[in-house]
Amino acid sequence: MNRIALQVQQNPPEVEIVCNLLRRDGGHEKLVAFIDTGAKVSLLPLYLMDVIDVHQPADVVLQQGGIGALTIEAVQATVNIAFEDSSGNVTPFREARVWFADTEVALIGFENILDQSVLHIDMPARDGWLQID
Amino acid sequence: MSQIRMSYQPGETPENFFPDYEWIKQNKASLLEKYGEASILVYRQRVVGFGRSYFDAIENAETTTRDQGDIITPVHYHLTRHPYHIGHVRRKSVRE
Repeated sequence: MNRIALQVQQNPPEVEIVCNLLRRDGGHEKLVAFIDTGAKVSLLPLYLMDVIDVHQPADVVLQQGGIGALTIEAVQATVNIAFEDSSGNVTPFREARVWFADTEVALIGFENILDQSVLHIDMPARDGWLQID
Repeated sequence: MSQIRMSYQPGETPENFFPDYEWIKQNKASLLEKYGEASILVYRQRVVGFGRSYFDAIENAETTTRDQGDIITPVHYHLTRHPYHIGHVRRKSVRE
């Protein structure tokens, strides 16, 4: 399994990873995303649908519960995604089901990614990694 | 005329990518103060474009780097104060 270093910040607490997404022009788009262990499915900004290679798009309505409950309209689709870090570690591309929504922030969640990974976050040491095939 | 390039070949990472990303992380607070919650494009430790969206930032960078005469491979980063807050997702229909 490939181990990808994460960017860990304490204040505010944030964990980031560098992604590569397969573009429509055949190249790769680099994207900085936040690791979100509260996200069932990864969330990507809608603008990326005009840039990257997207398969099987379908409209969905997402119900977010809890405080500040919200209903969000999104597009569910499959994309090809890989990860890399500054030490030259890279993963192969993998298919992942994601939601595209009207936001500028990218979140990496469980489905097809975190649910197949070992995630290590050491906040005091500001260190972390994602181990994934 | 400069050329903004955001598409890379398999296995290609421009030499400026991780140094510029590290620079963004180190300067995030001051960048947030200066640009607010916005998309920025950083190339060689300089903000070469910014705007409300990814495409706005690219358009702005095409203007600011017009006379540079190089191929620019900037890092795109969206500055936000609350990335994990679901409120950053706007509710409108996405297929208008």
